[in-house]
Amino acid sequence: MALARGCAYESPMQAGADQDSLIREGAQALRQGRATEARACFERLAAAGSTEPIALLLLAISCRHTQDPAAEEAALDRLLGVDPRSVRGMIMKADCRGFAGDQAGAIGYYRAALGVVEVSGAAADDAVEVERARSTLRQLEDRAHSNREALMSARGAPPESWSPRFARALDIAAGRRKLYVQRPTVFTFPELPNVQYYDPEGFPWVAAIEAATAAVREELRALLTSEGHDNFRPYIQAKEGAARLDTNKGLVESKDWSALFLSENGRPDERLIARCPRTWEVLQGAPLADIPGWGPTVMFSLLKAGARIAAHTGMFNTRLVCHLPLIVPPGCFFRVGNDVREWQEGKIFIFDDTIEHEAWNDSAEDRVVLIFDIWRPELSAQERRELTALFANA
Amino acid sequence: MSDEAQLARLLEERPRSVEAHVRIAEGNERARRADLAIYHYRTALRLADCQEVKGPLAEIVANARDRLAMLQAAAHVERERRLTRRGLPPERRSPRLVEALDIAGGRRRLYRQEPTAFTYPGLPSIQFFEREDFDWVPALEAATPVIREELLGLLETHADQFEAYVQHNSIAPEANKALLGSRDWSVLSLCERGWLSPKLVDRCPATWQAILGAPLPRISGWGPTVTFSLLKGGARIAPHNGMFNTRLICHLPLIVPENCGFRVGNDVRQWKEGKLLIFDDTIEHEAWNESDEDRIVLIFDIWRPELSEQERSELTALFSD
Repeated sequence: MALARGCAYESPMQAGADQDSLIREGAQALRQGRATEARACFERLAAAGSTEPIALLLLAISCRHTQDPAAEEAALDRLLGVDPRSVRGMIMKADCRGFAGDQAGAIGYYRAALGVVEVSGAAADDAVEVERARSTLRQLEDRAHSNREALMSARGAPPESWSPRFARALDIAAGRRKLYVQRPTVFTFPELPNVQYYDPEGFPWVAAIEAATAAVREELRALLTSEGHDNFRPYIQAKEGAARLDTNKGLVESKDWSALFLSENGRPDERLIARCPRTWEVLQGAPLADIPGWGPTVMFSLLKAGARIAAHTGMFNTRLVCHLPLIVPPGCFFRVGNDVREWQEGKIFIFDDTIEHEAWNDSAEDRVVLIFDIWRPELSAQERRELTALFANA
Repeated sequence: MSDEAQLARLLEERPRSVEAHVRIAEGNERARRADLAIYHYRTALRLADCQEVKGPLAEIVANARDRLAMLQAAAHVERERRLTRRGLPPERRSPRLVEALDIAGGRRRLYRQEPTAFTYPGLPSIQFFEREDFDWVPALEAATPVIREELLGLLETHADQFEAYVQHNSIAPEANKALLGSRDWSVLSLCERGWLSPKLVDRCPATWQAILGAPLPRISGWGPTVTFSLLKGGARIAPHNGMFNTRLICHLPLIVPENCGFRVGNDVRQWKEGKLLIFDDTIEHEAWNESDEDRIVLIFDIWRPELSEQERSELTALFSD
């Protein structure tokens, strides 16, 4: 634990003059290694009912230097009572919990402190402590995870036998994976589970589409041969520029990420469909959301070699998005939430695009997937009719 | 540098900047993209909610709140008009659509699970489950009169053994410090974290028999908890969140005076004697009794219905002592 440094703890001026001078005196004593004297100053302030956060923090620090964990933790509790977002306070409180053998408590307070840092940033003076908190938290989480693994193994359920959600739950508990939730940008339907990738096994129409991969790819190749890339247009267009500034500004009007639409927002392109009859036909087996002026969107999506689509979230959580990978050079990846997967030609991804996702192509060749959207399986027939009435732009 | 370039740089440096999101929202508003303007105002306000807002930023945030309210109200009117014109007046809509429209209109907040101890992924955030969806419910509800008789018997002999629900050793008493050690909210447990109280179970055989029909998690040192919960006249339990989202909590209301209420997320319901409430306690919830009399419900926990047999046995291995 670093000693309070220099004038990092100069007090704010709104406090009374007596309080200010006591804080200054105590801070100086602390700097000069006279912890007992420093503690006396801050105890006087505390006894007088001071709720000045800096005085309470310095009291806790001087208690630590005088080896009095109980008094230190009491000072920290008071500090966090008046300033619940105090990063230093939470880190020290976590230290206290760990010292007392309360690992779960320590993990909780370190995480809370780092959560505040993530939102508001860390003060320069806190940088060292924040780094120490990070490393201690990682060690505690690793130990807790090993303990859980050992416990489960002793009880006849070793890690390799775990069901996928259980394994993810323990990764989340261990801080190895972040928990991601739906953040639709336009419309949120309640009570739907946060599932990053759906298991295609649960969808009876998948097999027929996957089986048609070669035919779909042939139709795509024929288009590329006869028309080249001219009809692919930048996925993100300038009219949406203002909306997209926060995520994929680099892709505005860029052919790094481009698309060829068989149907765009429910408007079919009859000429292209005539050139890809097998593709169009096989897709009719999927529960496409057929909503005038809204859906489905069916497109060949081309991600250029070396290109990257930055993390973003979709607009409506009433649909899922599917990828049928057609041309996939090695080194192409897709992340949804905490799960990074590699496209494999002919193997469908079904994912929730309102959970943060990103894609990259680190190869030297273009990647092409067929993208289409389907109804979420959890929606009843009545709910689908209602949403159709709500979204239709006819 | 252009405004857009400046904004892009600001966001690169501070992606969680409230001001940057407000400015993106304003840009979308000017471009008549109300949906995206709403999204970015909401993002800005969500970020503002988890940091200290003062000085000029406070004004920006207040202004964003006003703009958002206006945009949401306008969009709400438009959606109402459209749905009614298309044959879906308010009275013909399914419950989840109604909630979705209220959320979109800013009339209800979206609540999510926020377990304090353990988060199981992939589960939906459902505030109240409907009692009609559980086949064990009718038998338990039918036993309400005899359960109440057994409770009344206990109140004659064991009234002094109800214990404060919030104890010093509780793991998450933060939200309810005022109830610490207080008999305003007290409980008498037939079973506590899996530990039976044989004497009390002997006194309430019909209650115990009826409760065994529910899918109780039987986990040594962890569950179930089956307890009579007494909320004194005038008492209130402040908003708080439960620890584990692998279970649901059930209330069988036994003695319910007027003016009691229970909120889970954005949904406030009344206890009705003999009608179970089944809810997700990892979604923020609170309870109040504004009458002069005590309210008593039987509380117990059940497995979440979404968990498979394998997942239940894995969680049992993890949680048992």
